[in-house]
Amino acid sequence: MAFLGVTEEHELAKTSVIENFLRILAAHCTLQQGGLILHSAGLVFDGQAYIFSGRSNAGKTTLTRKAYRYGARVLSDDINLLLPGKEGYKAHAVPFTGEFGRTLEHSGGQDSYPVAGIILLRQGEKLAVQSVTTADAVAGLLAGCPFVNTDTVESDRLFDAVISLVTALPVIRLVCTRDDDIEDIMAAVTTGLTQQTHPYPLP
Amino acid sequence: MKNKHIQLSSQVRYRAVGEEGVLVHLENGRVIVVNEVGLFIIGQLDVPRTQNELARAISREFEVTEEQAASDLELYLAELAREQVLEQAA
Repeated sequence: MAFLGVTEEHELAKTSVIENFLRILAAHCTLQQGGLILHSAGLVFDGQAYIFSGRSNAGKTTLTRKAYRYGARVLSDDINLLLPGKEGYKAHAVPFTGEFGRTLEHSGGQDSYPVAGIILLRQGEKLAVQSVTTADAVAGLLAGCPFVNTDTVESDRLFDAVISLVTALPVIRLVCTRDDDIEDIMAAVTTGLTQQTHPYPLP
Repeated sequence: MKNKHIQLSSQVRYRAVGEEGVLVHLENGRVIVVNEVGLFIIGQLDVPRTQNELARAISREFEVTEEQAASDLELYLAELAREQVLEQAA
């Protein structure tokens, strides 16, 4: 059961209040299904979702704009929903976006896409893909799980979900500048993910 | 100070991931990765311990002298304290 509480009744009319409530609710419901709501940009290339996870100002919206111009479908530039299934993890479209917004509904996209990999996004001086340890991957994703990563009750479930995700999908770190070309970025990402094709062993 | 009992903060959760450990601070969402020795120390701090007890345990586990363990431990605990990972036991 979920409750929405406001200090002033007129706040209920604000869409931002309702949306924030739904974001929190979605994060908890997703976790109960073994999935994650991840602070990330979800970009679809060739029918596969690339999930770029990063904190605010890591460059998610900038990357999203470049990818959109390059022909990618955008699931969201802010929040993406990942769920495990029989055929692996899929990224599902959700109505939660940042500055960019979602283009999926008017570009003929599917409800969900298989996830090619997780990319921990970081701004730096030069485009580079780095491998990460299992613990670094888990830490990076935990930090990107809003609402539930500060919840005492959900802590065990969150650890389980993140470790399952890291065990099933390749995770790399992408360092890039705001000026890097999207073609160069995606070439580096696809190469990096391919080299990381063997997911992490179970901890 | 070294005989005071310290323990992991009630606001911290952790999990072993391979040989390393990942800690989450539930108040601020901050996530920390610790190495094998760090994970051992964190595990020890599930229950209240003194620094001397910890140094002895590290010495036994990692085959270093107790003096060396105590010296390194002091610095490491200060770092953990800065991250608000520790609390004084009641």
